[in-house]
Amino acid sequence: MRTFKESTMIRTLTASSWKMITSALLVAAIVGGASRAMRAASTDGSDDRGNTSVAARLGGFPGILAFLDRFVVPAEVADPVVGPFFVPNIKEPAGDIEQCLAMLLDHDLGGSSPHFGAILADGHQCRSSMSNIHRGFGIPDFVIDRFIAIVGEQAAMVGVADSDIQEVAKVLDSYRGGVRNK
Amino acid sequence: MRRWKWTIRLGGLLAAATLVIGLLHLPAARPLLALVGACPVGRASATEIEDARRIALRSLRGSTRAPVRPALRFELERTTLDEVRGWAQARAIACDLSRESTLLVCSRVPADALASDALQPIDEVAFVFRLRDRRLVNLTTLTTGVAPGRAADSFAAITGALASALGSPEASRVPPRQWDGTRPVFIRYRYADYIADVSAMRLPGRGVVVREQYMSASENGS
Repeated sequence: MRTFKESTMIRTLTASSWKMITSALLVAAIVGGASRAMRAASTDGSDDRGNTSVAARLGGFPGILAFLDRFVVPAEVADPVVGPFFVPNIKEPAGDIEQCLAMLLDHDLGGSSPHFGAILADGHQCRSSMSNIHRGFGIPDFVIDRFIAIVGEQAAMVGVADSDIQEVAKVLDSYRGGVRNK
Repeated sequence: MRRWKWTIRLGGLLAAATLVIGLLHLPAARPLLALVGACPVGRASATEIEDARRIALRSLRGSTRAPVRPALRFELERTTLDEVRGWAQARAIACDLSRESTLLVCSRVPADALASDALQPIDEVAFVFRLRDRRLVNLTTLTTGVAPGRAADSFAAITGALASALGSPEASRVPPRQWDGTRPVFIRYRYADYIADVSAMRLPGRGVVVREQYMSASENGS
């Protein structure tokens, strides 16, 4: 049931970049499992359009989204400090935050997703300002460290290449200033 | 003329509402904010957080029971909030209690105070207590800015102690010789009633981050 919902939600996204995502990859990532898709993408180092970016090796947007949904969110929720920020995400598979974050990562790692501004199936629009998104939370450095460390830990566990994990960490860390103590 | 009056009134109303909402988010007004249902953005109650953790554990836990459930010097589902606070007070460790007294975060904790095998003080230790009886269900440590060599030695000591108690992990990747932190390392134990994770990796500009997590994974303990 959950897989069906994920697939439905993803397919109904309105961002134009979705047209560029192959359905085979989508099925592989969502149905077949994120780790398998990410490892498979990492093995040959490119997607079927010849994109050799880190994003392509991670399975593009669907691979990143499935990885976030199946591995990162449960691990983040289990963390005492970061967990509460992800409470809505564990209840709503492939929710707004995961989709927007997956697009952001895909974009910043060389994929074809829009950086921001995509309108999701439920009408939510991914915002551009990290400061505005995190305003009022007062998130300190240690929470950001925990968040990135958990992403890296989960990526290592599913077999993502070390250099790609470092790139993901760099991208996430590049937003630290916009997230910290807002 | 009438339209202008309504525009001004509406503008005034919106400005007042914005001001009130802003004031409600000031630290001094947080209790008042809680009374009106708290900020709907990212502010989950302790019950919601516990429910979410229960859902997360379904995909994290293993299938067999743990022979023992190490959690540094504490006991999962036995140690109480009062006991941990007493432990911290006796050692003059600064802690902050929040989330309806289910989260206690302590800073700059000496490793020996935790009976940890880490080779450096722990920057932050987070204790989660079960809502219904305030007993410990999750303990997580985080230390940043550790030199790679020291982090590798800490990782080996911590995971060695876990292996002595639990045997081989479900999955692991240990630091090679001359480890510089760029290759993330981890050890993972997954049982039906217990989860332990230890990891270390270099974060940009933050040095190596070492993280330990020990938690009850039983239905009662989540």
